Amino acid sequence: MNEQERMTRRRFLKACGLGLAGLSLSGYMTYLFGGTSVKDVLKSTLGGTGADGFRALENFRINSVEPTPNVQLADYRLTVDGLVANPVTWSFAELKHALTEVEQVSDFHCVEGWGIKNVRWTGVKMRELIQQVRPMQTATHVTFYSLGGVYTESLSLAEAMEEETLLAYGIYGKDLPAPQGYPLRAIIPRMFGYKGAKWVYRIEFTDHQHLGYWERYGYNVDGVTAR
Amino acid sequence: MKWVQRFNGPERFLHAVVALLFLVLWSTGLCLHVEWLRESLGAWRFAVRTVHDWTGLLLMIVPWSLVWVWRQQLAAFFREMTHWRSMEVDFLAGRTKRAYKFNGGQKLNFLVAILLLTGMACTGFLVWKSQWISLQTREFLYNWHKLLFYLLSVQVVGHVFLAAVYKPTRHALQGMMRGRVLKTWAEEHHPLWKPEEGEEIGE
Repeated sequence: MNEQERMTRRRFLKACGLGLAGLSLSGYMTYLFGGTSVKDVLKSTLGGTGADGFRALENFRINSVEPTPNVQLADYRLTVDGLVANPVTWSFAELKHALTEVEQVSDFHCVEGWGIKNVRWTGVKMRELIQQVRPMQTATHVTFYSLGGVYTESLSLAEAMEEETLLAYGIYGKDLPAPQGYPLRAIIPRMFGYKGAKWVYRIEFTDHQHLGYWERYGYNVDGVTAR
Repeated sequence: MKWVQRFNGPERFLHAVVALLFLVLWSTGLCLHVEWLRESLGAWRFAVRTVHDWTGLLLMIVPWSLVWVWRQQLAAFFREMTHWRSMEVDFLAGRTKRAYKFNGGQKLNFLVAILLLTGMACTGFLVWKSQWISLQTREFLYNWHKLLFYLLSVQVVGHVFLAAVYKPTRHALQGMMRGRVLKTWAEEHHPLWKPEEGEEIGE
C-alpha cells in the first residue's frame, strides 16, 4: 500500500467519524428541543411564542380514529356500571363534586415514538372512583367507552387502581381541548397513549379483559411494549 | 456511437433493490409522519406501520446478503467507491473537474447515504422493538429517526435530480438502467476512468 493510498483510507475513516459525530449532535439537539417536526425544531430554536405548556400542547399529535364529538356539557353524563355494588350516572358537575380534584404532572408517551414531557393534567383519580362504586369480587377489569361509539380500551383493576391513573378533564390549567378528549379522558402515564380513551362516557367493570380498538389490530394489551 | 460498460448486472440489481425498498420506506414513512396523511389513514395506520417496519428490516438484510452473494462481482465497485484520492476532495472543493470512475460528489453521496441509512436502520429498529430501551430513549431515537429522514430526503432528491433531471449529468441514468453510457459522455465526465478491456461496446 503506498503512502497516498494509506492517507486516503484515513481520510475516509475520518469522514465517517465526522459524519457520525455530526448526526449524533444534531439528533441530540432535536431531542433537547423536543420537536415533532421541522417546524417545531425551528420554532424551538428561534425561541417560539407562548408559554412552554402551550407549545407542548401544540406538539400533541391527534391520533383519533373517530370524529371529534361535539359535547354539550349540560347533556354529558358519565355512567359507571357493570360488576359494581354502587353503579352511578353523574353529570359533569356531579362527577367533580363526588371526587377530589387532583393535579398531576407526568410524561405522555405515544406508541408511535413521540412523547411530551411534563404534561400538567387536572382530573380525578380512578382509584377514588373505584372506591365509591365498590366493585364486586368477580370484577377484574374496567372498560372505557368513547362517545363516538368506535373506540374502547380496558385496564385491569390493579392498573386502574394505580396512583397515577387519572380521569382527566383539564390540561395545563384549562379544559381539555375537544380533540384531546373533552370533557373526560383516561390517563395512565406509564403506558402508551392508546390506553387512555378519550371522550369517556361509560366505564364498565367486567370479569374479563375487553380488547381495545388498537389491540384488536395488534398492539399489546399491557400498553407498555409496542408489539 | 460507442458505449462503454458502466455498471454490471449485480451492481444494477443491488441499486434497484435498495431503491425499491427505500421508496416503500420513504412513502410509508411520509404517510405516518405528515399530519393530514396520517389522519386520513385512520385504522390503516397500523397496516402502513407494519409494512414500514418490515421493509426496514428487509433493507437491513437483503442488500447485505446480495453483497455477500455477489462479493466478487461487486468488489471493484466498493473498492473504487470507498477509495478517496486527493483529487476527489479537490473535486468537491471545485478545484478540478477530473474524475476516475466516480467523482468526489458521487463518493460523498455514497458515504452520506450509507451513514444516513445505517442511522435510520438502527433508530427505526429500536423504536419498533423497544422492549430493551426506556421510553425516554425510544423518544430520543424517534426524534433522531425523523431528523435522519429529513436529511436523507434532501440527499435523495439531490441524487435523483442529478441522475435523472439535470441535463448535463442525467445521461448517468443510462448507466444504471442499461448498464452502459456513451463513451463521449464518459470521457467528458470521467476522463481518468479507463473502462477495462472488452468493456467498450460499439453500436
